[in-house]
Formats: sequence, C-alpha cells, structure tokens
Amino acid sequence: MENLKPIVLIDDDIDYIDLMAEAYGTLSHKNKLLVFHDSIKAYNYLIENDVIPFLVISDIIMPKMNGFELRENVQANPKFSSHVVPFVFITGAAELPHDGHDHLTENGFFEKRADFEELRSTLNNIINYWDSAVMR
Amino acid sequence: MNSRGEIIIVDDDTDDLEILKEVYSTLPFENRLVVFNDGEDAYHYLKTPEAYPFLIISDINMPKMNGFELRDKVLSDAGISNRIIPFVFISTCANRTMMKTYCSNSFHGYFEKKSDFTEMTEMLDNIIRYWKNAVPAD
Repeated sequence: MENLKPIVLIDDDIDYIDLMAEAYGTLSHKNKLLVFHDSIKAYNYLIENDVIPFLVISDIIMPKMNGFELRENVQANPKFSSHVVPFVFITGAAELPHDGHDHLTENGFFEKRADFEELRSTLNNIINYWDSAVMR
Repeated sequence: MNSRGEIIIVDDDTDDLEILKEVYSTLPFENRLVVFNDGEDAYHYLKTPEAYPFLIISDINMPKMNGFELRDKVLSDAGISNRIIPFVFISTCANRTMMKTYCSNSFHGYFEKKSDFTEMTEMLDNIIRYWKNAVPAD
C-alpha cells in the first residue's frame, strides 16, 4: 500500500480495542496502528504531533469527549485544515444519529462486531475503501 | 439504509455507463442497477416517494445538474435525506483541491474511474461492500 500513514483506533472499551488490534494484526495492511483508550489523549496526540493519520476509527460514547466531539475538535484544529482524514465510527445501533442528514455528512457508521472473522472483514473493507478513495 | 434497494449510477458519459454496467454484472450483488444520464433525471426519480435506493454513485462533471448540485439537492431535501442513501462520487477528473473545498471531511468518498477493468471491478466491489456493512442496516 502506497499510503503508510498511521491508522488511529479510539475506544474506551479496552477489551474491544484489543480485539480490533488483534484483528488488524491478521490483515496484510502495513500502516502503523495508534491505539487510544482515552479520547482526550487521542486528541492531544493528534494535535501535538506531526502525525496526520490515514484514517481514524472511533467509538462514539466515551467519557469526557465523545466520538463526535473528538471529530469536531480534530477537524477544527488548524493543523488539520488542509488535510482530509476520514473519520469512521464504530458503535452499537442505539448510539446512531436519528437524523438522515447527519448520516449523509459523516464518513460512515459500523456496528461493533463480536465475531472475529466479521470484525476482520469489516476492518479490511473500511481500510480498502478509504485507501482507494481520493482524499489526500 | 435499504441494503436491498437499487444501486443508482449517474453519468453523462454513455461509454462509462456501459463499462460500469459490465463491471457490476461480474459482481455477486443482487441489487438492481438503475442508470441515469444526467443529474436532473436522477433527482426527479429520487423525489418520488417510492424510490428507496441502497446507494447513489454519481459522476461530477455533467451538463444541466452536476454531481455536486445533485448531492446538495439530496442533502437539503429531508424527504430524500431521511432515507439515508449513501452518496459516492466517481470521476475521471481528479481535482482534489476542488473536492476538499467542496466537502471538507463530511462526505462518503470520491473515487477515480479506473481504465483497467479489474481495478474498476475491485473498486466498485469495495464501495458496495463498505455500504452493505455500514449501519443503520434495514
């Protein structure tokens, strides 16, 4: 893959993020994985470092700063003003926005898969999709 | 989202539409493919209450109503936008600056048309799978 910028995973559920990292490890993608349990730490890292991720995959409901707030804060930061970073949400269905417009102005929502094979294939598909999209 | 609904492709280039139809026919999906030669026709179709497609894949540069205008119309029409139909751009004109200016981060992706049949097939397969996986599922 030509694009080797890191992939950022954010979820306060440590078990689930471990599962995602394990699933990612079985795929052929070579992007470095940056994993955060705490959205504030993720935000600080993204703002303070030179890193522009290829893709952010984030939980929605998290303490302190939720997934939507994280995306808004990251995108509002001048460092990201000239970069288009896809921001994909993973969630339980109950957390989805009710307004159709909100769905159409986000990069996509995906259900948290408990089945390892389904999780692998969903992750792989998300990465391939944004890798082939022209965003950068 | 209606994952069993139609896949709509909007493109004024008849040759590209033929290629896309051929590419789609090699994929395993059962969604009906509906094609339009211009944005206005697509919009009129989407406005009908019974239209509930799964996915819209639209070219950008088209006469009368271009792809951006079509997307704006879809977004500003609650009757259509509440049906949550993913809207993906596909184009040969790789004007990334234009894309960034237009939609910032808030959209479903922009893909370049491939001249290679296999690459085009992989790309279309990827796009359809992504939105089949996405929630809300029907």
